[in-house]
Amino acid sequence: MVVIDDVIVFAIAAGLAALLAKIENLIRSWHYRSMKLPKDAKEELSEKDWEEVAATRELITRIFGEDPVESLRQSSNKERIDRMDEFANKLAQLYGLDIQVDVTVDAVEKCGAYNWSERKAVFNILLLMVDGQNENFDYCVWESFDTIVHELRHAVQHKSISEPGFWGFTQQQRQAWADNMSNYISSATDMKAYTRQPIERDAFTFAAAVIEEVKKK
Amino acid sequence: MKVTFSEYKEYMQGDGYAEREITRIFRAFKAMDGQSRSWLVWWIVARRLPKDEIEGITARYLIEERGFKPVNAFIIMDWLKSEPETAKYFLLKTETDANIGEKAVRELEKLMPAVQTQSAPGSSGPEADESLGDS
Repeated sequence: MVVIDDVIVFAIAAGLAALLAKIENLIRSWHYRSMKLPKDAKEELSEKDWEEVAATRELITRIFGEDPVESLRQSSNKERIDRMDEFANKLAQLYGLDIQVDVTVDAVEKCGAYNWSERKAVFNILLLMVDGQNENFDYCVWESFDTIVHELRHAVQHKSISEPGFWGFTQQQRQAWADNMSNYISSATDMKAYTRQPIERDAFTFAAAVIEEVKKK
Repeated sequence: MKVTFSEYKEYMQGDGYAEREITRIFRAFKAMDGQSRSWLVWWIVARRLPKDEIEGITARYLIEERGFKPVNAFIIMDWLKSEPETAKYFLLKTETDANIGEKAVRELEKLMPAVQTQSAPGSSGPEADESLGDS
């Protein structure tokens, strides 16, 4: 459930400003708009994965229309929260997940988390509280979608380990993910190794595939 | 200028790194070029940050603005040299959190009994006097 007034509280506005201030120069100078996940950082996706990528794209189109960036730009903050809440919950259903999904707005800089022990995904859509005229509004939209898809992919990985046959993952994949969970490398200790471990590499690949498909339309 | 593994380990333990991370990251630095190794050595010996700028950013930016630990910042700087497009892509990702937790790990170990850990029996870490930096 989401509880927020139409007015963005000062702490949230300050948190958002601080977050964007740290990266806005890089978004510009590193040409974010033409960035894609490099091939050598990608995992191979299965036919089933690609079907789910297409289904995710369809869900995004159903809720946000053909141009999610413009659609969200025209929405109030309350509408943005409601629609992202609807998206995250419907996506969890679409993926066949029996987990708790919470969409919040918080001044902290962590934008998403999947808790494996509690089977709970939490999304902080602070980035979507940005003014529609902000030059990095598209970044805020795509990163918010990316985070939701990425974290729910972790929930899919988790369920696939518990339920052989779920999404048709191979035994090799399930074993690699299970091994990885016991040896998980946090982004706070080694960012490079964090992105290369099996469960993260897979989640980054799947989310990037969804975003690239939606942008193609 | 150099630091031994035991000096490095003492620093890393003080910064909250787990044993298996300490050994893995030491090996990662051993495989880096002299410039990247020197960033870590100077930090441990003199708490001096490099002025080098890679792809427009510095270690100071990563530590002070983005909140990375110094060792992680040096790893990222080295990554920006070796795989700039990949490193830049991930540096523009928003921060997320994976809460795996002991409960989930225990459940998984029951489900997938062949779970392997990084510290395989019989594997040994670096010697205490093995060093990073100039020989």
